[in-house]
Amino acid sequence: MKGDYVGQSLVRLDAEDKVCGRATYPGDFEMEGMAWMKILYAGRPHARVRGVDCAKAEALPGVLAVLTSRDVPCNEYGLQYPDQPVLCGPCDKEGADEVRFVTDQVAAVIAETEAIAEQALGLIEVDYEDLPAIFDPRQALEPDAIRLHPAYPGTPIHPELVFEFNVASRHRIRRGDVESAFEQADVIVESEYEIPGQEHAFLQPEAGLGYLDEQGRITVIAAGQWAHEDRAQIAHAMALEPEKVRVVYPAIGGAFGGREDESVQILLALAAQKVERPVKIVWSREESIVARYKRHKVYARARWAARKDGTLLAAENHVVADAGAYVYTTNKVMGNLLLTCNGPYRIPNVKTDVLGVYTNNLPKGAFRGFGAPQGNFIAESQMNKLAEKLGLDPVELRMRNLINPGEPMPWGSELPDDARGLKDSLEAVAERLGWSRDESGYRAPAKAARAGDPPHIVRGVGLAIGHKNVGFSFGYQENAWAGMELRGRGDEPEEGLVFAASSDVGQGTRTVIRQMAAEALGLPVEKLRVEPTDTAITGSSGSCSASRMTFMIGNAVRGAAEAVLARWREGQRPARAEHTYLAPKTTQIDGQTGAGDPNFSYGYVAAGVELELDTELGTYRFPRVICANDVGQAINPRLVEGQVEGAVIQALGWVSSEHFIERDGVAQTTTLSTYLVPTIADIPGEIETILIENPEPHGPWGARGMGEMPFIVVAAAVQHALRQAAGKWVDDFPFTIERVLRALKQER
Amino acid sequence: MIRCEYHCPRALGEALGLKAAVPGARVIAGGTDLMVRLRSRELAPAALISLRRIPELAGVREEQGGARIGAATTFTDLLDDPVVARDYPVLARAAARVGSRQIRNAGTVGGNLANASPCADSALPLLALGARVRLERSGGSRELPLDDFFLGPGATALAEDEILTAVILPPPDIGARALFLKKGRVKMDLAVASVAVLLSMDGPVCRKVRVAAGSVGPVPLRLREVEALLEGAAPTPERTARAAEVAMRCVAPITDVRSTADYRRHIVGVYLRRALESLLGREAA
Repeated sequence: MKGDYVGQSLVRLDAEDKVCGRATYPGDFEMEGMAWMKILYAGRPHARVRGVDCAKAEALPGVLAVLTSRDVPCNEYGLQYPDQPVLCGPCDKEGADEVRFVTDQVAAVIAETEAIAEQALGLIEVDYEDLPAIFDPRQALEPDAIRLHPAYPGTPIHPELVFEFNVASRHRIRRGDVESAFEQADVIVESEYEIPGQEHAFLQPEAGLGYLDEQGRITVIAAGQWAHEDRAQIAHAMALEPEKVRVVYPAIGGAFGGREDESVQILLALAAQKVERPVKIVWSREESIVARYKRHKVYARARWAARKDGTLLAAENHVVADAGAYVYTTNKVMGNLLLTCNGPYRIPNVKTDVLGVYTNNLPKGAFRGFGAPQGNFIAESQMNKLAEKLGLDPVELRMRNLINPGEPMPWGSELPDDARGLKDSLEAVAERLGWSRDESGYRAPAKAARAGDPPHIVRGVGLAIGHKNVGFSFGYQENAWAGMELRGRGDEPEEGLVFAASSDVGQGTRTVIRQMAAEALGLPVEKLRVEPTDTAITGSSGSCSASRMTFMIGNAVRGAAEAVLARWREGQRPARAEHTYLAPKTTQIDGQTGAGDPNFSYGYVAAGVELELDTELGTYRFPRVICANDVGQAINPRLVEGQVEGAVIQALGWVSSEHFIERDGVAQTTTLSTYLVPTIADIPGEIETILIENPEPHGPWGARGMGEMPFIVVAAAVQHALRQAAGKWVDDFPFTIERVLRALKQER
Repeated sequence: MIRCEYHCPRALGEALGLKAAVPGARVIAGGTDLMVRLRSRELAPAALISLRRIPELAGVREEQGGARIGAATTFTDLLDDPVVARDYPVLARAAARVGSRQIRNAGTVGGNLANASPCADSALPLLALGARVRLERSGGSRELPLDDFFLGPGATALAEDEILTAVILPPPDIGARALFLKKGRVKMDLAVASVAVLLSMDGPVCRKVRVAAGSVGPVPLRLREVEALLEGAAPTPERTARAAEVAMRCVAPITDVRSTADYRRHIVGVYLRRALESLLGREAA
């Protein structure tokens, strides 16, 4: 539903500041009397810390303090489960003396200058007892493997966190009887996939400033995705009431899920309290790459069956994911992988197992798509292969098997009534790629070499569709808070303040909040100011993740606007109101069968990829990528298009040039000259964005979450296009030159 | 933070004087290679002498029918230069493939050569064009063919008191055409391998052929055996294929973080054949 502001491409609030270099990021803050902090990393993948001797470091002139395990009142943290020590070393917490990956943190030096702090790191003497380590999650499942964590009791909030030996999380779907379905099948496609991890590579490395504010509150300025959760985790580790801690977000240089868990926040708070001075830290790019979690690397086996006419009979998926050293958000990422790896298809018999397994690799966690990119790749690769084996058009095969709105998904709950976006987006992409349709169904365009192509150039076209949840799921009561204040003396408010704790990680949330507030209040946007994200002045608006922020905060803003307008009309000056929006309830899923109603909203998306392959060199480029995304209602169409283009490019990087390599738990690609993110020179010739607007009944003005959707369908579409060009299905990516040349060689 | 003595002379004579007087001083122009090594503390020179404020080192000018390129000429300057565009377009093509716009705004031809990396993008077309380099010291100067300038990775014929001041190009070879082909892992990247080919025909036979290859040996390589195979012969498809095989045999690549020796060799073969076929008008490169 378009309005005066909703549906309009207003210029971003922060555009000018960012272009002119005036925006202040966490690393830009300085304060009188500020000290610097540096972190000592373990440098070994698995070891027991028998002792830490800081005497020499503390004696170095200019060193103010050295923090070790005994300085952390409650030495544990974790967004889902506190299985990680803040600082590894002896203390009263069982297992906290163990280092479980190479960049586990052992000590932090606070000094007058960064150089002194760095020098002091070299003077800390740590007594390690090295322990055997595991780097492959499949080996961690072997009966003779060592156990990497104590037997945690778990929590009823996250029943999927089973902590069975090295299995951190376990998910299952059981529906029908796959074995007898396979016996009746005309066609079976079996595959083994190896889906890679990925580095977030946001522009702004982790940084921040910790200090005591004028009320004596421990305050941390940093970049995160959920200010109140940062506050809760800091407070937990320091054994403080959350109100004693304050978290402020300035401009944030990207996140993509990589700021969902803590990085520098807890240590900054501890340091500021310890030295009673402002303390600053800025991670180098290398630290940012080696000391933060990544996307999950996944090993999958899939076996799918269909009848001759394309009717799907069964899907069996077995997925083992490398969770790395700590849980982070692995359990929820695996939940989304579970719900996406069978695709949006009507499959009567389903057997799915998804394991998140501890190793001594870098931890794995949230990254745009949150398990859906891996799950979608499995499902859509299987579908494209089935279409080929059946001799059916891939669009036609999908149309015959798509779940209709109102029909159950593999876990039992129904596809929402507003789910037309699956068909609409697939149709839109197929049409742009030149598909035609007659009484026999959809038909791909004839494969034609382009005039002027040299003989070593061949082309392929691929497509994939998908869906993913919007918002936190699995029984969590989704909520978001917003506040408003209207100022002025007369009948018309002269000025409006909007309060929201939303992390603007670069996607333009604050701009969109302002637009929605203007629409809801019926006020000109120029009269509205969005207040900073600061736990001291706002309630919790939840995490900037799961494609949820516009959806959730938009509803909160609407509620707050209604309430504040009522007070204004009653004569309150200034009029103040706040509102907490509660999304429709969801449920946990059954641990044995997967049955449940885990989500309240979905996004729907399709992608088409044109690929041009140099058969001699094994290199390829993308002349054109098409992405159709049902966004419900674009609040700011230009920003939405930016999200689509950014997601497509980020996903193309994941499948092609980005190759995160860990060897024996040590990251090998530690700089941006070895970890190759696509630059503007590498992007597709054309990215065509199609915004489909089937209103989401619960969304503000019909808006639907969309930030992750365009990412999830790209990999399978590229694999499909590469199959046509290279003549082979490549089931492990990134599609490196070596892999492509091997495929070409096998084809010949 | 990098701390060291820094000189910014306004005239060449002053720079040459400093180079002779300050032992361990390093010359800096754009700094796009040097700063990386200073930051990683791989190098810690006693002093830096900047060539950025010396007017006679900047820009291209016609000289004796050919051209003289000042050592501190940036790649952006090369791309904008009418003489280069008219007489040596292959050099512009290579300059366009150096780094990003920001790198091209800072990086210089002299720096690219003096850094003596096997992957130096400007070195290949300059080798194919028969360039010479001018090395000057206080009270003297000499010229060398570019082939003789490179001694090994990071090593050149420059003496301790010398500065590379100019690249001298012979008059353009009428009728010759040249191509530069480069493969990076991504577009803005050092060459995984690169090839420059200059070809001049005399009726059905090759009159003159120059071939250079980058990132496939300790220095940017001239492939003389390939040149000899083609000069005076008709470049039939069989012969260009043979030339590609010889090129692959002549190079000596290594495996490193950016690629493997085998793949680099493979690229040289493919690119050499494509460059020749394209210069002959038989196939798009």
